[in-house]
Amino acid sequence: MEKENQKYQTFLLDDTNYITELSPKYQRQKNYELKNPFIIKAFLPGKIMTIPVKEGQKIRMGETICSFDAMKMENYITSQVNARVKKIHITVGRVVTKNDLLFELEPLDESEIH
Amino acid sequence: MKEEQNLFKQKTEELQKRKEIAEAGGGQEAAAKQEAKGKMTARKRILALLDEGSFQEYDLFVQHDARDFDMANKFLAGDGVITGTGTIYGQPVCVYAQDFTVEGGSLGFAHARKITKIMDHALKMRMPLIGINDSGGARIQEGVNSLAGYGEIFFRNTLNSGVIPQISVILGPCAGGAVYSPALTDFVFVVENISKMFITGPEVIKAVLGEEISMEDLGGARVHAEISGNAHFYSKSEKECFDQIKKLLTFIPWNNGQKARAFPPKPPKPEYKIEEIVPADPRQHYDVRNVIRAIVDDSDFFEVSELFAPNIVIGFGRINGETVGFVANQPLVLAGVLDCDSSDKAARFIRYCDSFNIPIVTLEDMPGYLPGIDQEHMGVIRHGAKMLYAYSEATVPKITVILRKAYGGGYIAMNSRHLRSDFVFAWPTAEIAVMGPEGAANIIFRKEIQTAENPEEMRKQKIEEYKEKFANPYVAASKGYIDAVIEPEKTRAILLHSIEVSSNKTEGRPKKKHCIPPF
Repeated sequence: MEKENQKYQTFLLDDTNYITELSPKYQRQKNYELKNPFIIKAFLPGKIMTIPVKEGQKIRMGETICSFDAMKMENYITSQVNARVKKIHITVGRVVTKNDLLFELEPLDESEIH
Repeated sequence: MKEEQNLFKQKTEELQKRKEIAEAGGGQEAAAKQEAKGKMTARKRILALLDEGSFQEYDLFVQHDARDFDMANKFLAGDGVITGTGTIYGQPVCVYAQDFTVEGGSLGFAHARKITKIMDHALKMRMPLIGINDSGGARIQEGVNSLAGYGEIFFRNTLNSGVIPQISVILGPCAGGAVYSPALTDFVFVVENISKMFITGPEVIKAVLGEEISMEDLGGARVHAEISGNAHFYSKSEKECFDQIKKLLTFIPWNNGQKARAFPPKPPKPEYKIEEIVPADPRQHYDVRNVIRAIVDDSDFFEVSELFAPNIVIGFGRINGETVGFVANQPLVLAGVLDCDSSDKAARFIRYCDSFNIPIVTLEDMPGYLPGIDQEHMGVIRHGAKMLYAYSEATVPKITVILRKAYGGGYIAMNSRHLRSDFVFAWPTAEIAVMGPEGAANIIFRKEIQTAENPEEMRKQKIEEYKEKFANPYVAASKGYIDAVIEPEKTRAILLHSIEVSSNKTEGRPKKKHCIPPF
């Protein structure tokens, strides 16, 4: 009986609590991750070809910070923001898998923006 | 004269010898290998599916004419596929089964031509087509000819769609382009540990994306029955699968010009009592399948896509001997909400019923659409629209019974009067409103609740007020959106009456080449 009760959960919709089961697919859902332009992750697995920036370097929006070989194509990662490279987590030649952390960026100081 | 008789005998014996060789497929060793995997051979499958002694094979002696890559010296029995006609419960069907023991059941041009020939036959003779898939894929040695073969099959699947029932049985690998034939057919059957379906396999995924997954977890039977929704029927063995196919065929007509066969009427089993199944409190769960069992003949409900999107239930039953398609929200799972998958599942089923002259009964009890980033990004707008489209488009008799909750956009979508339902009935427990009382009271009386001395007390009072005024079937009934408020125990009787009086229904739609549904 206890097991039977564990199956049912409260499910809130429009301020009403419904007593119901949750489907396996629903339970497998992953939480949505807010996009952060200062954290750069691999969107595809591949091999790092070039890293044309160094730690501490100022970069401009649209600047290429890494090229890598994936899906038999050369791909480029560009910065979405004006920033400084805080940390580089990869080296040339390394094979990365999807969602591996590649770069951490940091915002520029007020004085550096202009 | 005697000499002639001898010659006749000799020729007949030669035929038998040739047949024996071809019917052996890939030979005993290959057959034993197949059986060791828990799989029947192609020929045994056909014989197990059809009425005993009813199978007539065609094109047994067809041979490929490929010459490249040493193919000229290769004898492939029946070119790796068995085709023919037979009967199931005395009704004629066309059938083909790929033979994995012959060159891995690979699809070459002659193989494809055998399949398309039986498909053309099924269409011309207006009878169901059952395809048993067990193939390694394209016969690479035959190059583009093999691809041409697939294309010819897909084209015919599309032509046949909505004219004759097309059933796909996946009893082995079915990978790459090959999966698109089943995907174009009406019902897909899979068996645990035997069926494997995917566009790109685990090896390719690993090579390209670096992600590792087993074949079973990527495209096994359970995955397609529960997650992707590509399969409609799931079973544990081939025998169980064939029983499911035979049962399905008792509920559907042989083509779109007919009605499903009528059976002798039977009452529902007495253990299913509607008033004992459904709690009056709209927040409490119950299994809506038991409500259906309380309505249909002999309480025999044949569910389709049981594991996929279980928050909506679809399937066939009979009322007074006649097949009816059921679409019902399932309060047992996710409170019966509508979402991408459940809309998609129901929409397809509604179109199936409409194509094949099967009246649709909708049982409604849902709190609205599932909120979430996932849902919005997956396109709940487009998928949800499919259901509105399917109901609006359908011209078979359409009857709705509102059991409890009918809130918001979901109320419109679930075959409301506004989408041209023929009859809408409601139980006295029905609540037809823009949203549930709690949510509605919190919005309408926000100010009063906020400024009250005791906000919680005020909230409760306002919820009660709203419930009393709007959470009932009588507002909708006063506007004629509901035809009758009925006693729950009379549901079967009223559905029976509604179907009887709809037997001559004629309803037109504007002339068009075809519609543009939100695919």
